[in-house]
Amino acid sequence: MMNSNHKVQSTNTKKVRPKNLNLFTIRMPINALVSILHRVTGCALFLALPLLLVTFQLSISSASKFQLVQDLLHSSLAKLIIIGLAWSFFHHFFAGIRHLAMDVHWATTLIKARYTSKMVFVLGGVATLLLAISWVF
Amino acid sequence: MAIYSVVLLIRVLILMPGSYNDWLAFSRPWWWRLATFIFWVSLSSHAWLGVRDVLKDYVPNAKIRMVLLKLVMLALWVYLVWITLLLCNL
Repeated sequence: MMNSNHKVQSTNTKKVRPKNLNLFTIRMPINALVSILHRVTGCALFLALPLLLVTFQLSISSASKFQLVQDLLHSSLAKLIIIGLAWSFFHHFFAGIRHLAMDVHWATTLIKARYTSKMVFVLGGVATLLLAISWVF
Repeated sequence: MAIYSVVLLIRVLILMPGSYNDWLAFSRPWWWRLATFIFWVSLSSHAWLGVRDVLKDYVPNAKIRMVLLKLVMLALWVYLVWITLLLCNL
């Protein structure tokens, strides 16, 4: 008779399909990296939304609050956070454009897709670098 | 949203709002506030779709997932109302 661990299914229920969502065990070619980072940066940006709104609200409420925001944003911790969020935004932005391009069937071959993936990382890095230089110094 | 982001960047680089008054003047034009509002509406549906996909993929328990989805929806509505109030009071 069958092993008791074996799932017994009637013909009416759906088959249990194998599923592996453990990101650390999945091989990461460059296109996959761009894709999962697109998702991760999206989540990070979503979580940062209330921070953005509070900062904006303070910045417009009064001259002293505006100054407070300026001082806070130039603190070391804030600079670190801003660089992180900036890269998140730029990666999400460029990966998103890449997504849209592929939707209209541009650069959909493997070689071209790998090239655009590299471009996403390069553009994201350059944009973050420029912002870091202008904000931190 | 991409166009708004680019325009925002260009406006900041050209106008360089440094003081409180500069910042108010930067934020106040009616067409800018309207663009910001439209941006935020787009952002809300964009964020919703993204986070919904993430929750669908990674939260197997249907009840917990439903609660989280509703929280996300609530949060996005709150943010939209919030930014609308801020833009109206500018």
